[in-house]
Amino acid sequence: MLIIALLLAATLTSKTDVPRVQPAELRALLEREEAIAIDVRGSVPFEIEHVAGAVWMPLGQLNQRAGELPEDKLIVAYCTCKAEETSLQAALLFSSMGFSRVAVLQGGFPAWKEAGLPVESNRDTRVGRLAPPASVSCNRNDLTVYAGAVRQYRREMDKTSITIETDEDTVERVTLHHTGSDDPSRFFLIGGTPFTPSDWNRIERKKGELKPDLRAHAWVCADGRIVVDWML
Amino acid sequence: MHRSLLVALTLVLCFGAFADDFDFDIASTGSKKERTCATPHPSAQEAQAQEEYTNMLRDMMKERGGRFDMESNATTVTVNVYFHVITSTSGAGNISDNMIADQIQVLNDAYSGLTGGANTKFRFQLVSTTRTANNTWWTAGYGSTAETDMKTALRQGGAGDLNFYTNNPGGGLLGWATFPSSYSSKPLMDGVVCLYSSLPGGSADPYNEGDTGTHEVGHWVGLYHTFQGGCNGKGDYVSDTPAEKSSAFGCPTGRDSCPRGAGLDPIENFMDYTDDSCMYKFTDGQAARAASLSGTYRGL
Repeated sequence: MLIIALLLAATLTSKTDVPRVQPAELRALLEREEAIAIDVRGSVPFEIEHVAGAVWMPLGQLNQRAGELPEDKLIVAYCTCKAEETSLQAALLFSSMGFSRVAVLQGGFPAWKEAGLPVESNRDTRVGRLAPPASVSCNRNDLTVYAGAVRQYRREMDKTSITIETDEDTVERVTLHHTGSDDPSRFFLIGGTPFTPSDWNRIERKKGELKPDLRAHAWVCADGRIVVDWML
Repeated sequence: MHRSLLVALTLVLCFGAFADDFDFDIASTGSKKERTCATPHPSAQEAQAQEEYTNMLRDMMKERGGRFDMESNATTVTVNVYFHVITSTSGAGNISDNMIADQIQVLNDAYSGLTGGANTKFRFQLVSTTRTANNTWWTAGYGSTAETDMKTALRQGGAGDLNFYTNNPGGGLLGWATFPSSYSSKPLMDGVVCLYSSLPGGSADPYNEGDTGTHEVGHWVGLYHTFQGGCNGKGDYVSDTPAEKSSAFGCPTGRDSCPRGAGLDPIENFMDYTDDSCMYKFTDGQAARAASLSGTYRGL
């Protein structure tokens, strides 16, 4: 309660006025969705590792992007600097913009790490360039692809749903409808080649259960056609 | 996503009344995936370099009224290129020296801004070419043992040297690349691999003007796809490339897959998936990011 009272203080005018939040406190606030963590470092350290769920907003972008932040949550800025130099600047800036509930993470990201709290990384993204398979015949202007790891696969009578965690850090779901059947294979390719009955053993360990760690390219046309190309 | 595509998808979602072969649903959860890799915390040197980068961007924004412009950074760096042509034992994929020279020229035109984009700091010069007939390497794909063997045997130079391989990976893969930050942990795997027929004058129409090379080298200097992150989040970590929900193909002028965000999709950007004839530019923000990451991790 004391912390909350401190955080409700009026406009901050000096770095010493800025409330500090301990890592464990921040985690609890985040879990209760009462706070939002703002990573004010540059893009590289953020990409390498950051507080799970944090929003990347480097100091140089605060003026332009502060409007993205909710006004009903505590804003907790953090940096890598142990004395919170950069995050304190950010907190004062937020305060001057009218945000009434701002704070900094005591000890910054190193303290969060040392406490063993959850982090996320955006690294090791697979990169490349894809060309559509010849059997995807729709106008290329109306085509897109979701390429990545298959995270959910549900094959049942009438339809099959596939959820792909894409290499571009999004989650997409496609559902193939095959009324009166449990066989979606007419929508499938494997390595760009036609899918044959013998290929079921290459993607499923038993009927309806996908092998682990499979990747797929889901080619989606605006006219309704979809092709799932399994990558082994 | 192009508005007509959005409308079509909406209709599908709402009515689902398509002929059997065309029945499908598609949905984006909008959620971010959770990463599990335990990449080490940045070193003090990396953090310092990033701080300097942030300061540089801030100063540039002030000077340019909020717009990055790398042309003010006149210093260029010439990247040595080691070319490795992999062929089948029957000779398929044995591209000519002229095609290799044209590929280098395509890179220089793209990265100097000659084609209409930002003038990045990067220039490229061919140092040497190796030619290897090996049926396993000829079809080596991303992450394969064959890729490891090929690169281990052939790679030359250091972190700032570009090793450019051509082969026939299959599976619709035009090419792939490694990021600058990967060099320290896997130096032998560093470089770009491109489908041999994607080089200028090759047979991979509409991907035969050399821009697969441009795209992959973009990754090699630190750039993400323009559709990284979709409409939400941090996107490609470049502020002057509008958010894009997913990859674009062809040349869909006016595509606006993130209508709530500013700007149309950057289909003309080298880091999208559009046809070679459609893509012609990097942005100033991409130039700045590439300069920073390549400086930090490649010493360029």
